[in-house]
Order: sequence, then C-alpha cells, then structure tokens
Amino acid sequence: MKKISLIKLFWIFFKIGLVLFGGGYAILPFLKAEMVEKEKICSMEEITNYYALSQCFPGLVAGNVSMFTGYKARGIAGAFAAVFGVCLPAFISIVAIFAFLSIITNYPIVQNIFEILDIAVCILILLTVLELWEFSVYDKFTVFIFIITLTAAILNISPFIIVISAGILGLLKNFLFPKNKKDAKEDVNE
Amino acid sequence: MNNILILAIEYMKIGAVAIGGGYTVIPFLYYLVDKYKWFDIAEITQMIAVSNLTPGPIGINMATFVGIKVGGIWGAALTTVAFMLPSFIIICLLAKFLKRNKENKYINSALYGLRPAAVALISIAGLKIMNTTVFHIEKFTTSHNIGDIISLKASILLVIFGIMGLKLRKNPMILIAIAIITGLLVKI
Repeated sequence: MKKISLIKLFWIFFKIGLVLFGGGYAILPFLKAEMVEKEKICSMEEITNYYALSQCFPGLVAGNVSMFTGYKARGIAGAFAAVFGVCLPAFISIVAIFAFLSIITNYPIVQNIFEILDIAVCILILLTVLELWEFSVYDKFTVFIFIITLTAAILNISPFIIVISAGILGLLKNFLFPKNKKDAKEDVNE
Repeated sequence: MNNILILAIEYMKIGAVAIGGGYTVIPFLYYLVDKYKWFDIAEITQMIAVSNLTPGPIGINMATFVGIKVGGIWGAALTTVAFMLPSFIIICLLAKFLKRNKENKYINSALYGLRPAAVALISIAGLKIMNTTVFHIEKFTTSHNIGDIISLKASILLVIFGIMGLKLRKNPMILIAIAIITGLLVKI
C-alpha cells in the first residue's frame, strides 16, 4: 500500500461527492475506480466489507464507507479528510439553492413537480427497502423484529427507542439461543 | 437554549442511532416535526425531493436543509458536523477494532436485531409519503367523500414509477428526471 497525501485523499472524495446523486448507495463503483484501481489503497474485497458494515452502523452509508476507506489510507486524519470531502458538495449545493428554492416553490407548476417527485421519492424509498430486505429480514427472528418495530413505528414510538431495543433484542436472542449466532456471522462475511 | 443548539443536539442523537443510510433519517425528521414544529411534513417531502436532485449523500443534504431552515448557514454547518460526529467516532473506533479482531459476536448479534428494525423504519418513511400523495385519509375524514380516499392519477403514477424504478435501480437520478418531466406535462 502506498502513502497518499491528505489533500489528495480529500480531493478524491470531493470528486466522488460531486457525482453521487440520489443518495450514497452509488458510491461503490467510484471507490473501485479511484481507491482500488488507481490509488491501490485497498482491495475490492475490503471495500465490500466496509460497505456491508456501513449499512449496519449508525451514520450515512456513503459517509461511513468513506471513513473506513480514509482510515485504511491514513488513519483518523485520513478518515476525516475522506468524509469531509464526500460531504462538502452536498452541503455547498443545498446552501447554494436554498434561497433560490423558497422563491421558485411558490409557482403552481413547481408545486405540481414536487407532488409528482414525492411519488418518485416514495418509490425510491420502497425500492431501498427491497434491497435491504434480503440481508436484513431472512429468518423467524428478524421477521418478528420487523413486525414489532413496524407496529411500534406506526404507534409513533420514538425511533431512538425502537433502534436501541432492537439491538438489545438481537444481543439477548443470541445469548439465549447461541446456536443461531452463525446467522449473524455469515452475514457480515458476505 | 436557542434553536440551533437544540437542533444540533437532536441531530447528534440522530447521527448516533440512524442506521442504514440517509433514508433512515426521515422517520427522525417526522419526530422533530412533532416535537418542535420548526417545519412541517410537506417541507420534509420537499427536502427529500431536493436532496435527491443535489449531489452528495442524502443525509447531508437533509441535515444542511434542516439546519439552514432553523438557523441559517451557521445552523447548517453546526447541524451537519453534529450529525457526522457520532458516526465518525464510531467508525474510527470500529476500523481500529477491526484491524485487531475480524469477528465479534456481540457486535454481530446486535446488528442481527438492528437491521430488520432499520428496514421497518425506512418502510414507514415510504408509507408516510404514500399517505400524503396517493391516499388522502385526512381529506376523507372531513369530506366523507369516498372518491377523496385515493388519488387516481397519483396511484397510476405510483405504479408506473414503481415499474420504472425497478428497471432503473442503478440510476435513481433518471427516475427523478422522469418525475420532473412528468410534473411539467401532467397536472396532478
């Protein structure tokens, strides 16, 4: 593994942040091109591991993958350079259009566009659910957690409580029935 | 305590528990709406749409959006930093930890319970938007007109976009572009 400067690391991730549209799920092909093939910082296998883990830990998938990759390259400073780079375009673009946005959203045609966009966004969210489903909800226990957390969410229970109790239930389940713990292991190894 | 600081603390809490990417933040935004009334549900859906149109991770777009709404540009900067801080600490510790132990059963078993909960929360986010665009339960409860329950045009678009979305999974940007063009041509 060769040494990479923090500025270069920031710049690579800034460019990736600029071309990431519709959420962070599209980060993998860019990381492959820049960090695996061009800079040879890490292997594709490592990137895939980072991606799987990033989905399961708090924070944004794109942000977490960037931090993992940056950490691999230059430790904590590298993680910071990478995540700062990948987030900066998102920040700048919202700041740039915000003032503009409140002026244009008063036009009826713009409101109509936003209403139709909502339908598309709804589809994108439901498709994300489908994608996450296969490695998240796959046995009796995970179906059980899905149903109770869905019910809790419908009943307006705070998402903080839902997420934390689900994690505790996962821990409890594997302590009470340790024979099934390979399920969880296999998953992270994917 | 002023709003910017409250928002930063709330967003730091969101950053500490929101698992599974930017869409997971949406249910927490509904929670903020309920608790503080800084913005409303319609603004959240607008935020999601704008976040899909702008480059970068959706969660950062939304944090910037919420921050700027509540406290201007400094509010936006503080919210974004607060949002990223917990995951930065967690991922750095985890990356260090992973260097030493490849597998840890405690982490893995917690994740095993967390993932289906994250999926449930994201589903709710999608269903809430569907409830305001395709179904109009609230309108029905005041008018008692059966025709108000479901918007025909919106449900047709939902099916069409659903089919297109399945084909365009790698390029969600195209679906957003199609929705904008449809919005220019079709009155809903």
